[in-house]
Amino acid sequence: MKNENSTSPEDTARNASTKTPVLSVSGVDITYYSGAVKFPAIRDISFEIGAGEAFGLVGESGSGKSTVAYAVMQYLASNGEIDSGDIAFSGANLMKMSRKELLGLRGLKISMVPQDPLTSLNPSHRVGDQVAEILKIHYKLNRDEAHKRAVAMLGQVHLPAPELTALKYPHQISGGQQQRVLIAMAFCTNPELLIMDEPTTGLDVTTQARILDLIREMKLKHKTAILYITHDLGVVKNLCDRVAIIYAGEIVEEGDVASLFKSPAHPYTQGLLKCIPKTYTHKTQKKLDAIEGFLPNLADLKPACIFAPRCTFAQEQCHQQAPSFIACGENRRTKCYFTEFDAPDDAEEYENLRASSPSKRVLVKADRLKKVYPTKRGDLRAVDDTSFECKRGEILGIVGESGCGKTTMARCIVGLEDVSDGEISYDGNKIGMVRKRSKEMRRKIQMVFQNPEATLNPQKTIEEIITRPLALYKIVPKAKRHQKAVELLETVNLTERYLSRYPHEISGGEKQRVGIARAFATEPELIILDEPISSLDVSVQAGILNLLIDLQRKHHIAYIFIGHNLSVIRHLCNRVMVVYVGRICEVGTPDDLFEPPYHPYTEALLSAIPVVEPNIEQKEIRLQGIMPNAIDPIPGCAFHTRCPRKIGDVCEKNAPAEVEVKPGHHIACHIPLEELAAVNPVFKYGRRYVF
Amino acid sequence: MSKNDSTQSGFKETISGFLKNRLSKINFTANLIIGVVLLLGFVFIGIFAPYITPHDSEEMYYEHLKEMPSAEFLLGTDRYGRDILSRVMMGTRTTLLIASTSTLIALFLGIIFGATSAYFGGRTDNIMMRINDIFMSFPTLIFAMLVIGVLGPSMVNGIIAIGIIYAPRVTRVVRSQALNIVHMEYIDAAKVGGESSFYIIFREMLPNLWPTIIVEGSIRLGYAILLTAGLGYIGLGPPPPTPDWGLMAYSERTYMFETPWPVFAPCLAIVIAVIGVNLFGEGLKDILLAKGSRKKEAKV
Repeated sequence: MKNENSTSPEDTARNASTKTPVLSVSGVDITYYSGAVKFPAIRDISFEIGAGEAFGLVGESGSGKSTVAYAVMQYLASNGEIDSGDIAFSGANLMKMSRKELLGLRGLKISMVPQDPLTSLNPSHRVGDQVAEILKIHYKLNRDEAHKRAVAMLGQVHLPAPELTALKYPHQISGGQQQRVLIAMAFCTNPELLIMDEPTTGLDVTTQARILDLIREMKLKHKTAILYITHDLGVVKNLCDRVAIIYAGEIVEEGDVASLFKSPAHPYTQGLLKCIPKTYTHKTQKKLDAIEGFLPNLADLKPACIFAPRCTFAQEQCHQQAPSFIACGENRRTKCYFTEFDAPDDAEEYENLRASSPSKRVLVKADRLKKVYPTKRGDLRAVDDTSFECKRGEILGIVGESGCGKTTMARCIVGLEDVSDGEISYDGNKIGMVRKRSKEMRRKIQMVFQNPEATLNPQKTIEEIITRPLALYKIVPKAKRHQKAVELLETVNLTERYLSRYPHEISGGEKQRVGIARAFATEPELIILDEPISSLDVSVQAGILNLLIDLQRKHHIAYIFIGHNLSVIRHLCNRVMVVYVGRICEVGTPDDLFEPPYHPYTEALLSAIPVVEPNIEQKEIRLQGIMPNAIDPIPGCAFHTRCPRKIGDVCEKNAPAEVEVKPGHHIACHIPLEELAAVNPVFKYGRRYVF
Repeated sequence: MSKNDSTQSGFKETISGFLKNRLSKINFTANLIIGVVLLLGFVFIGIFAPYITPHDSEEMYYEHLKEMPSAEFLLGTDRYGRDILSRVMMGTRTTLLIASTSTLIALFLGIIFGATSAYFGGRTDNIMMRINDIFMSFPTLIFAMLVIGVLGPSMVNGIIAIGIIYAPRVTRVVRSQALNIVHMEYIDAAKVGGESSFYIIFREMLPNLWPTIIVEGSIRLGYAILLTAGLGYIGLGPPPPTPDWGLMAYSERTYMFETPWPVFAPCLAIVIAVIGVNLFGEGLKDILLAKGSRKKEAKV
């Protein structure tokens, strides 16, 4: 699969040079108006996409990447305007077309796959009818023909039993399947151009990997040009032929994927790549390089390099005049004065960043923990008879797909949910719901939440939020609370100025920092981190991860870190638990997990990680089917329905026992250990990686 | 926007912070402006009625019985020769007092029951809501008659009756909004932080409920005015001679075909007051509760 990719850029480059490109955007400026204020959201953007080419447009939130997509569809928000430039589709200027002409194009020649599958499908129509509707509009097919074609299309996107799936309503199928339906809708008219706006962002890595395979397959089959918009460099590397990096409304670098990832030229691209925790690094780790600073205020632009205020290489020149594009290599260009840097070879600066020497003493112990939610169809077993422990000063990671029960485990430990069976003990004492715990107990366990937008009360200032635990637990006398709040903010790298602000006045990353400061305010011994970085931009993620590591080393507290990104988990944790449908598949150190023997599920998760490093070979394992629901009892191994290495009846009948690979590394699988150990590693890398 | 002095929390600061945040961005719709003007007009008349009425509302001018509107009596006189305009103005006072006080009572009860029910959820919520349903299933006027029948007609009892009637409706609305908030992570954070239920309901949830409560209150006020008039009409409002719109319309209805203005004047006042309050409520709703604008517009 990766090999196909490496050949396609040349092919497409050849195609592109001989024919008119499918989409050509040249010199486009887009301005948003808000009252009297003008925001030049997009400035002088140009790119071309040829037939059969996948073009990635990568940027962080607020960079204007979705604006570009809507501009191409000629469907900008009502307060946005294209000031200058041309957008041409197969040579025809889209901006000069009438509404009627556009209606004929949209859905027929140009299709779009939106980000959120659940809100993009109409919940009260069957999915087959929704695909058929497009065919009826554009091809004037009658009901039966349209339905037949729709079913065939659903089959092409590998939906199981397309005839039956066509009759289902959107809520009856999984998120990944909904996304497949949307892809079927996009491809059913065999469009020349397909715009995809983060189509896999809400999906699990395993599902994402399969959707990307599907997009790649459909692209080859239909010779479609794809504009793929995302913030995820890993996805772009796996899917696209060419890529443009967009920052604050300007493309700062453009080139083919292989060479751009190998030798990023623009400091912003380099920064983005350094922000991402490495999938494959040996034994030790390096602190991530976060990009300092914020996106510039677009209402107040200066004639300078847009990235200069955040650039570590910025010179006098950069602040004086904006650079224009400079070619750097074949088919590559970048907007930077200095394309050759003496990039410091930081490969030598590895240091062990994981929690400093966790103690042997067990802090939290879950013993045969069970949590069931009664539903109309029966009990949903969110956590199914699992036992685990977390030692003092340790960072324990919990990974798994969404819906596997990892958040429920965390909520049981902090006492937001009552356990159905089994018990949780803290320092040897049994603990229950948070209301029934002693005040001292409550102080010791804190939590950092997933969604930065919901984690702070919008009607309270940051000072009220941070001083509240100080007052509740009388951490410091009243007179010193303000001082302490300032100190806490400083530990999360925020300043005193933030105290008087309201949550809506600060960014998502800053909100998450305040959430961390609040958790640390009570001087706890254990903090549960429930996917604290998954909804943040990569450059912000790196900063938060570094902060968490620093704080952990300083205070020697324990973390239970919940995530779905194995690279992040590997970067941070001492020990990792892989969870599937409420049961534990594998426990071990991150290094144990990344090397054989693997639990088949771990192996599949690893192979689904979109890696950004060049020179890495990744084994391709795709999980078929969907996670079984936790209502119907699953006899035997929970993973047997999707396991690519199922050995037979024993998997369906008996639950596997945990096998000890070595002290601290356990795998629950029926496959003999020797066989598990004999597989090839998921990652193989040739030379030492470059950046 | 700078907020340097918001060190203490509290209702006042919350509201002022809220207004400060949004006042500059408010889109003053025609609804809101008309509503505010009408409402302020009625409040002004209500407060200063005794000083600004052209005549004494209870003075009977025997030489001016059942007179057409004239320069001296702008809306004419009733069968006892009393000035109708003055009586309508005095009636504003009674009506607004009953309607607004009872609305406040309804809001007070509704906030407590609604927020508590949503916060505790599960069986508590179920029981509280079923009781709520029982109260809501009575037609308002019949329920009011029941309460006043038990307590006896008087202004205070009228207020209590209307307050009790509308409390379950407010409870419903507050609860539905509180249900959205109770699953927010900051509520979980407060629980993990060890806050008491009382603190979470009234200090964490309530500040976020104010927009809903304010809008609901202004809409509820319109209904309360109607119900006040209705009670007055069937004779369960404040007893005569207190001027009351409903009672005025009732007592003059026998002569309606002869002299319509004594009936129409209070009715017109009711209509204008209710329209004013509803426009005001709608305007507030657009500002406080609008989820995104009606047009697709990018945020910048």
